[in-house]
Amino acid sequence: MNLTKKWKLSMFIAYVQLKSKLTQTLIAVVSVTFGIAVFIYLIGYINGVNKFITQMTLKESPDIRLFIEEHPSEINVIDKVFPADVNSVSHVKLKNLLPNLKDGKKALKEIKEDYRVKAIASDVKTQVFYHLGATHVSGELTGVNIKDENELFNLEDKLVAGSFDDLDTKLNRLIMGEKLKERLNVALGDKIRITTEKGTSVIGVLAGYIKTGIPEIDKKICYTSEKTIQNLLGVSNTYITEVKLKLHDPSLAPEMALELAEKYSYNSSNWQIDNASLFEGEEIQDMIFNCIAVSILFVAGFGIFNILNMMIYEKMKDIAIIKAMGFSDGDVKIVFVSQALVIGIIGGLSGVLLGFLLSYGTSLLPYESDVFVSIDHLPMNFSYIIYFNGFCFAMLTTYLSGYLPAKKASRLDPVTVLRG
Amino acid sequence: MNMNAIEVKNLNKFFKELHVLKNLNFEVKKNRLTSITGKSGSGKSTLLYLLSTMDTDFEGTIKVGRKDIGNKNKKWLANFRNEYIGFIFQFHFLLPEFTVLENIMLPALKLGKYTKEEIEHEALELLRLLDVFNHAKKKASLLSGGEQQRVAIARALINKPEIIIGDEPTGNLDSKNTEIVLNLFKELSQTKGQTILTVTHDKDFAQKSDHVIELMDGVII
Repeated sequence: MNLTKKWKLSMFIAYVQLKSKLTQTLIAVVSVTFGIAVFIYLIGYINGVNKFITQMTLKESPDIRLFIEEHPSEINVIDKVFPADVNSVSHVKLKNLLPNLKDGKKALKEIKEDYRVKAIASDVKTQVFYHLGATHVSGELTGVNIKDENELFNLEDKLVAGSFDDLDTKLNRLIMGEKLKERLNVALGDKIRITTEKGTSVIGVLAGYIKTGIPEIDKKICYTSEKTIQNLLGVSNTYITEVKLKLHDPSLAPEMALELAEKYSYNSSNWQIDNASLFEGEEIQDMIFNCIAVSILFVAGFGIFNILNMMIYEKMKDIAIIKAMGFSDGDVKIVFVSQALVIGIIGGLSGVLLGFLLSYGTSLLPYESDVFVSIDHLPMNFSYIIYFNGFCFAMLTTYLSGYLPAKKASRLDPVTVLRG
Repeated sequence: MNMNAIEVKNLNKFFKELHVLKNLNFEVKKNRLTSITGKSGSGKSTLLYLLSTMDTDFEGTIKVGRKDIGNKNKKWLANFRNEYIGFIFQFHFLLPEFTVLENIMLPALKLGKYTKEEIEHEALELLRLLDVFNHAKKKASLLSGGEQQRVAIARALINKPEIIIGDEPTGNLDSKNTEIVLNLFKELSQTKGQTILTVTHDKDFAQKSDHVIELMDGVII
């Protein structure tokens, strides 16, 4: 007897038995359907949100940053001079160094020529206090070349009110994050006094404000021209503290960051290091949601296991009969495994469909967020991999939960059953 | 030419400590209707399960159709049962969710020698012969006990097995139907070259068979 015929016959028996136990079969199918649907929905939802947040954050984050971070040297000068003696120097401090990039402008020009670089900008950063009546709000002032910065982060799109035009031509113009503007209670054209930690101060004028959609940035960011800060700090116009790059291919960033740091002896960082906590958090979230989804599927699997087990108890006599008629252990196993697989296929497919409908429905729901400006509905992920995985999971759990009862059925001794 | 369909030598069967069949030696001749009689508990059914290869736990030699069935694997035995042995149970034992026709066709579909159409034709012939033709498309569970028993007999005959083994096949039949079955068995053994071995309590049935083996307490008398 050839294999397809053998399967066909066993499947026929499986089909008749399933049909005669329609309610039980339906319950098993529905439990798989719900398991898969919830799996797909949960994973699609969490992936969608994570992906959205990651993309937004990465858009606001340069691929490579070059800066100076001075550390006290490991070897004391006194040890170098008196290497034979026991020297003790505690609490080593840095001498008064400026944290600027040496030959920064020249490096900037050179790096700009690199074929891998998409956009590049330099900035000068300094800690400041904003004076709001009697209270002081601490913050960070970033002096930029607004054209370069705009190319890097698309600032124009994020401008809520005001304009960038004056920033390069007039001194002391400020572009703030929306949250900071609200905190300082200033309107366009209002003046605000800014003091550096060294005591120099300047009166800034609010020329515009932006909203990136990321609260941490909107609360902190305040742009002005490079020149303004250089004046404020009393340094030359070649003084820059950071160079930021966007690459055509961000995956090259770690390697290129090291290469540039080596070449110019700056410190470097890349988007992977800068956003490590984000990726970590995402991974943990994914793991938790996967665990939940898999346990839902396991529950569905137990349901199938239970139903098939009961079916076998009820059908013990029938199994003995078909064995007496000459059906082999393998034939009997196929009968029950194929019952499980039929439940798996129908449940899996309808689960995939239901999961898609739920996801699609959710993605249509309007969702307004004060925080994330750039969405008007929930970001669901419709990646086919989720659906493929869901279906595979359905097949796997139903197969496993069908296999054990099937094995039991195949081992049944017909004489014991028929003798009664 | 060997005229024995079944040969049993030094057959012993134990249920744990209980010695059920004691050193049996006998032959069942080909093309005959042989009956095994005996009181209940004499080991008739046990012997029948052994001869039908469903029970493989015994000592001694059993040859069915000149094939030694000791030490054969389960798959071989399953195929052997399917092709060479038709078994009729004491109770009909049909599959209740399947139609009468499907019940009869299953062993033949398993054998896979003929097309579905040929099998169906054959099954309908058997149903006509056993006077249950009208119920062919009904679910097996809807038939009366006697009708179900006749369907079970049809199922045992579908593969034209060399040996038909019955465990009181007429136990649930009235005298008219018992007559039909008995005549059918005689005809099969005489014209179709099939061997029939049945356990029976029916004295009339036993008398009309070609050969009678009487068991008492696991011994042939």
